[in-house]
Amino acid sequence: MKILSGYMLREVGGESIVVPVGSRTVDLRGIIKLNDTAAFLWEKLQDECTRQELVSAMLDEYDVDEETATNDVGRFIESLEQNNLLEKSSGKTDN
Amino acid sequence: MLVRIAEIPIQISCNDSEFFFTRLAAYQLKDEDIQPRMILRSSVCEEITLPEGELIGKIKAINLKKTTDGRFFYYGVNRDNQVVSLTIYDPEYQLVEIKQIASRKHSIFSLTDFEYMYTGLAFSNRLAVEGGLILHASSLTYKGQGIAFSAISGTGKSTHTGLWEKHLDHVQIINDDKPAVRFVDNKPMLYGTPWSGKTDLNNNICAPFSALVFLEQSQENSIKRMTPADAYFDMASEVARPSCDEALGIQMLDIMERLLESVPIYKLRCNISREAVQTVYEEVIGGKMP
Repeated sequence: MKILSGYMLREVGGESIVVPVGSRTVDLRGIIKLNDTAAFLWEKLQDECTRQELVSAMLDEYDVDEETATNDVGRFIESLEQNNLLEKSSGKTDN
Repeated sequence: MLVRIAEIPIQISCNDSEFFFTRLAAYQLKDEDIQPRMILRSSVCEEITLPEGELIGKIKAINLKKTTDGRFFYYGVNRDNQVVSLTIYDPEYQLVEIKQIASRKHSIFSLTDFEYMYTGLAFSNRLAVEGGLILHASSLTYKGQGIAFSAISGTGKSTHTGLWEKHLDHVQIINDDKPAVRFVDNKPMLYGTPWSGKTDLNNNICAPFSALVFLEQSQENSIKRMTPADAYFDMASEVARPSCDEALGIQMLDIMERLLESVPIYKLRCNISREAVQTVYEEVIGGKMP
C-alpha cells in the first residue's frame, strides 16, 4: 500500500501536518495533524510498503512491543482508508 | 500605469481603466524610471485565439498547457466550447497576460469583476515568487502595530475592524479584505493592496505584522493563543494557493509556515461590541483600552 500522491508532510512549530498540494489544493478537509508515530508511518507510506514492513519499522524506531506496534499500524491504516488517502490496491494483498 | 504594491513595481494595464485607475491611484509611482518586476496586462477582445501548447495538467474544468517557449496558459470555455478567458504567464509571473471576450456572460460577475479577480490572483502569485502572500483578512494599524483579523466570508471581519475605528482614535485600515504579507529584514510586514474585496477600503501603507487573529462569532468574548499547527487549519482556508502551479503552491506553504512561526496567532470568539475590541486590545496591545 501507499499514500495517495498530492499530499505533503510538513512541519510547523515542531508538529507534523499533512497538506494537500497541486490539484488537490482545494481539498481543505485533506489537512491533517499527525502525532509523531503517525508522521513516521506516513513517511514510510510515501513509498509502497506492506503492513508487516510498517510494524517492523515501528519496532526498530520505537521502544514498543509487537502487539502495540501492530495495533498502532492497524489503527493508522484504518484512518487512512476512512479518509481515502491510500492508493487503490494493485490487487496484491499484504495483510 | 506604473504602480508599487507591497514593494513590487508593476506595469499594469486593464480594460476597465476607469475602475482600475480609481483603485490604483494611491499606488501609482511618479518616477517612471523604476524598472517593473511585473508586467500585468488585462484586455477584452472579440475572440481569443489560443497559443500552441502541450497539455500538462487538468484541474477540474481548466486545461493547463505549456507553450514551446516555456510559458504556461490556462483558459475557460463556455457551454458552446468558445474560449471566454485566457491567462498566459511565465514561471516567475513577470509577464502575465489576461484576456476575456467581450461577449462573455456570467450570472454573477461582470468582465470588470473577473478582471479584478484575475489581476489580484496574478499579483498574489508574483508576490509568492518574491516570498510573500495574500491573506484573506481585514487588517488595521494602531499605535504602529499591524493586526489582521481573518475568517471565512460572512463571519464579520470588517464589522470587527469597524468597531476598532469606532471605539479608538488613530486606527487606520490597511486593507479590508486582502492585505499582502511579506518579510522585510526577516520581519513580517502587512501591506495595503488595491484588491480589497467588496469595499475599496485600502491604504497604501505598511505596518509590522504584530498579531493574526482568527475570528469566530460567539455570544461571549474570549481570546486565546493558538499553536502554529492548530492555526494551520484556519490559515490554509484563508490563503489562496494556486492549484495550477504546484511548485508555487508548495512555496506558499513555506511562506505560510514562516508566518505561523513568526507572528503571534490568536483565536477570538467575539460578539459585536466595544468589549470585543477590548478583549483583543488587552491581549495584543496590552494595558487598558482608552
